[in-house]
Amino acid sequence: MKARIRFSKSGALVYIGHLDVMRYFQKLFRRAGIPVAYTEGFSPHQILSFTPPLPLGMESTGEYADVELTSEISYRDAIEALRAESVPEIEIMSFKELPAGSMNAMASVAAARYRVYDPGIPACGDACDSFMAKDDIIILKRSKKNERLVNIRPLVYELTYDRDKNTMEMLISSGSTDNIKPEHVLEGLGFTADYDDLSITRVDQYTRIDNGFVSLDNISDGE
Amino acid sequence: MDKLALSNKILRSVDKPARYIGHEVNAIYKDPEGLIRFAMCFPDIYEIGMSHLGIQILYDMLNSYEDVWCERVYAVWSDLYAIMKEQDIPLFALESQDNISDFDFLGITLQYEMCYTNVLQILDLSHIPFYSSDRSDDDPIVIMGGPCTYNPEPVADLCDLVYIGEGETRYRQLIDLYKKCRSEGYDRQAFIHEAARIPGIYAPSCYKVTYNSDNTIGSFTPIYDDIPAKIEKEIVCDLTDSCYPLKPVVPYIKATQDRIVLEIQRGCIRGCRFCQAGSVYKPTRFRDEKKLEEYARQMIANTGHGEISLSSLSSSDYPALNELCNYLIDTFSDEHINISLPSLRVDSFSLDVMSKVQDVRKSVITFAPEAGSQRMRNVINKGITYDDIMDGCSKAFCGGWTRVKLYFMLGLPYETEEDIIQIAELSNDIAKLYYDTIPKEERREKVSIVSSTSFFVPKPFTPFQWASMNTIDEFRYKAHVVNTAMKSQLNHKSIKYNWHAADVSVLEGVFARGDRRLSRVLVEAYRGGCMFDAWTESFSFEPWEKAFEKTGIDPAFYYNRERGFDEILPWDFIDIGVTRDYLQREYIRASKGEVTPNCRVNCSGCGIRGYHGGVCQ
Repeated sequence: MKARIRFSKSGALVYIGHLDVMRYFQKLFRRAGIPVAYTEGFSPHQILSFTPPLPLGMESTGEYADVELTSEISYRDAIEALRAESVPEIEIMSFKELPAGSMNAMASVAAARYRVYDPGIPACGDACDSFMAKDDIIILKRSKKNERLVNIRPLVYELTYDRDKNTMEMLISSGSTDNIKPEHVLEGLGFTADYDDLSITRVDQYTRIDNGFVSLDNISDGE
Repeated sequence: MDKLALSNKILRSVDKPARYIGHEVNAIYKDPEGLIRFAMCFPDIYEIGMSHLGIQILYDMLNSYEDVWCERVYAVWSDLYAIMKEQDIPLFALESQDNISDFDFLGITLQYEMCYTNVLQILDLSHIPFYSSDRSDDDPIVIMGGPCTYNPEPVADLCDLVYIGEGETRYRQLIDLYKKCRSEGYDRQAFIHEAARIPGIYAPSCYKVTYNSDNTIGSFTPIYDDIPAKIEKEIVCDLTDSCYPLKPVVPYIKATQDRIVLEIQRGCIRGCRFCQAGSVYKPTRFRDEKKLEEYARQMIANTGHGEISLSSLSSSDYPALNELCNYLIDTFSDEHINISLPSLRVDSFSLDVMSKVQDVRKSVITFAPEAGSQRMRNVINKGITYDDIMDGCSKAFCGGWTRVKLYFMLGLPYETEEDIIQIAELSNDIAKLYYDTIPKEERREKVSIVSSTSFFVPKPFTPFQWASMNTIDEFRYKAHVVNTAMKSQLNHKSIKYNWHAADVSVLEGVFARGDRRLSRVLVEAYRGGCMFDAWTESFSFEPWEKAFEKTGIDPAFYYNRERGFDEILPWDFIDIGVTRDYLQREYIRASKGEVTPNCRVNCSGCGIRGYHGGVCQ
């Protein structure tokens, strides 16, 4: 049987990479005594699946890992054991059983919500509205191998600005196809300052059900 | 938000920022108010430093003191080094992220000579003057320890104190003295003098060295009457009851040793004449097997590590090895915890254990004959014979192994060309043995022999401490001879030959047996850009040559010159328990190729009995 864990990443630990997080959980599961299933062979490893890597330096309140278990457990006890063994910068937010046949965390992700604090964009609310009012926002997407022009507008599902809190929020496409990053949206908004000075949080990650987006934490049999 | 010494911008731009942030599982955090602040440093990068058991032991022990907060600090990698130099950012401890310059103590472990320039990186970035004599009351006390400090003289001018021997015994006393001196109107030099009265603590500035006209040492004397002329090494007599880090810090990034380490014994009963560890860690002491079982259980629960390894010299000599291995395999294999074996003597027992814990097809059988000919193995007193090697290999081949690794040294005393050619012949014999032992239809794959040679570096407190070390040209010639001999072997296609870089070995030779005049060379080399000299990619010999030239020091005086028995050696003021007389006897026996039996067979009167611990009792 499978279970899904939701966790946050904050403080100094935003500087540990994706592989380090995976190693961290392997050790955490052992410390907490969670009966995790292993692969066969001479170098068996835990059967785990994580949501796409969080960029180094970014906080998150919506990271997920799916884990295969060998026996029934009490989720109430398990989450307590995990919390007791975890560092404060990685908070175990939930631990739930996954219905049989669910897609794994990695494959499920279709969208992610990001919050940008103090974006430093003049008339930010208007800029967001006008961004959403357009049909095409073309930006240059660079990868290690090449660069190409992409219309990111259809991949941005929500874009709002809260003047009181001076924060911007975006719900954008994520996952293996049509993946875009918050900096692409910022670029589309005409942001030119130093990206490294920004504080961005990945708020949550979602799967697509019918025409809507549902948090990966919101596990239902209908998935 | 956690306090971090480096800005987001810097942390995002450097390789592996997790090296610099602390906050690992089991890292110790305290309220610093009123505490003695101790920064414990391994002068290499985080992944290497975090793999070192000694630091873990001392970190755990010092933090068990309520009045001390011990934190960790490592060398920063070149990318961050450039940024910190350019922006004048001071070096910080991982836990509090506070500047090292604000600490009471900076402890530095010296595990290999080629880390000495990294020590200067640490001092430089911490804004602590390089030379002890230039430091003020506000600077931390720089105390060094570890195996290289059995000859601390090359770094003598850089440290305030040196801890000679095992760290578990004297830190409490040293810290109490420091607190007393602090409460009575602190004077740095007065504290250093008082500390030099504690057993095992050496204060280089309290000793005066004079030199003869031929540059050898004329005299080495304390400048105060109340400090010892000879300093006895410190040891833990009973390992079983000494402290052990049951909650070691668990790194996020993959450390070189990403596993639990069980130290099963200290010291070695063997008397290999080239081996410094075998000498300085005597007497051999064992940790109780039942205690180790208990430690393994607790440490797995406390860390979540998926692997356990055993640590000691010559692990096959641990009396309860069989029981311990079987316990670990039986208890942890169901929990998917790997057992990583130390290099064991290859026999039926070790092959049986190996086949239980690893994939035979992928694993490698390792031998360290150290020399190619039996004559040379007698010279170095390496108690392994041609028949032992052949017998071990034969058993391994029958058990399904096809890969053998062999380690040798070049440049040993009394070595001839015939001796080193036999390195190739031995490699060939093993390959031939495979084809003779395993019938064609049962051979799953070709046999693979990997033979490696390192260059012999004479070390203090070994019978070879007086010996001449080969020059770079001699080393290169010898490697060439071996390589040519390898190629002429019948089975050369099954053999791969590797050899080490000669220039690094020569530098190691200089600093291993150097005196305190070399501190200036280190400072010059660092100023010339030397750092991470143990890393092939960052090592360059040229700035070293310039540093010797600039300071007017001839490296050959230190590495190539054979010493006489009457010469005062820079490390003679240290008493490791093994006597100079015994080492001298052993050097003479070596010249005749006479073998000395190990401690269990017969006591050779090395002098360590006086320490009242271990197998001698």
